[in-house]
Amino acid sequence: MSPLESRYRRLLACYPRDHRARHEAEMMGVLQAGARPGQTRPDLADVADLLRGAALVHARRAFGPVSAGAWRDGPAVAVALWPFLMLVSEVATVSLRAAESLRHGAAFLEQPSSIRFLTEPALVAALPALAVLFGRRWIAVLAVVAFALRQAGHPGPELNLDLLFLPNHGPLLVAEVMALVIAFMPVAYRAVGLIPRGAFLLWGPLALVGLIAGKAVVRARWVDAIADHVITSWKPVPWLIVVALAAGYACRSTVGRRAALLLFLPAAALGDLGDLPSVPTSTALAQLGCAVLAFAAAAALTRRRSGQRRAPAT
Amino acid sequence: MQEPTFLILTALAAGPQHGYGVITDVERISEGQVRLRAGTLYAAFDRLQEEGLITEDREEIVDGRVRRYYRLTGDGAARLAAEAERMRRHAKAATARLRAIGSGGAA
Repeated sequence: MSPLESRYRRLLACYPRDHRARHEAEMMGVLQAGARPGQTRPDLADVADLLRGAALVHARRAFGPVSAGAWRDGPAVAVALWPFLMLVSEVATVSLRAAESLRHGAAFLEQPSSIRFLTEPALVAALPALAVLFGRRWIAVLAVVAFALRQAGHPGPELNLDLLFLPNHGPLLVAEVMALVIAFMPVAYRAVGLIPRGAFLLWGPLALVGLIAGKAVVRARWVDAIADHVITSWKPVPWLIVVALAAGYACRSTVGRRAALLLFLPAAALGDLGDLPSVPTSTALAQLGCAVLAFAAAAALTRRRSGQRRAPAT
Repeated sequence: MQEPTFLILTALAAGPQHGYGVITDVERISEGQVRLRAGTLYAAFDRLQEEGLITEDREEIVDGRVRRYYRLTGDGAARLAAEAERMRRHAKAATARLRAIGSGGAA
């Protein structure tokens, strides 16, 4: 391969994979036919033109009519996943509460009120997820009733307008209400069918482990939150890594890419991010770096796997 | 319709052509004013195929390289005809007005 050809190939690598498969050899022929004798480097004008062409083709794939279906399904999948994320969040909290109670002995298991106190939030959060999963509005109605009864039974900080602006109260309440609203949406039921069952089985337990690992640092009092503030500031990282891995995995499909784009920030916010402004910039950047690395690793792995699956067919 | 698109469709109106053939034909049609490059040409091919205005005709292997020919579809011909007619009307209006003020219109 001549130096000119290898340089052209590096530029053509900027095009989408399907476009390269279809047109790379053809474009190479055109480029070489237009090259001067003895030319070893592409002209600047050709470089700019190829990069502009690659950007146009990418933009058309991402936003053109051909992507209309993905833009319809991607947000629908993101919406459909929200009640499941709320359920995972509640189950993680309930698990930690149960672990805390067990540290003081198993006597509380004999008291129905304690059991109810522990399991109620998870059951209330499970109803919107079940309504979406089965597409049943009566389950969604039940979810609203259960949520209202729970709020009425615990008129705590959620109903205090001042506390609604605190990160651990207001946004969480909004997130729960969103899950209830989504439970009524037929589009969520249709979209949940687009998610492979295997993905639920893989990412459900992983998400639970990630959330528990992060919350446990403080809630289970493994560390002194004030004395060990450095460890405490790293508590969102396990969850951030799980969310970033899931986003990287989702990026293998056009629908998944759009769903991950829309859901990443709200999902990351569920991870007990704490008082972000008090985290040193270097720590915040290091945490972001962990998430970026996890995303890149998952995206590269799924890309390689999908490439291997395609190879025998071609 | 942008000028490169119009010229690509015009080049293919003469019959199926491969990529480099379209580039040289466009240069000839435009009397050397427009020289398409590979990036612009294949981005346009990608879009025009998606819109159903052109389609692949056949492939040849020349010197070990694929040479793919493209041709105008019925929709492409109709769109080119409509665009040519629109441009003709505009040119006619411009010519008439220039003739009226006496600053041109010899054409």
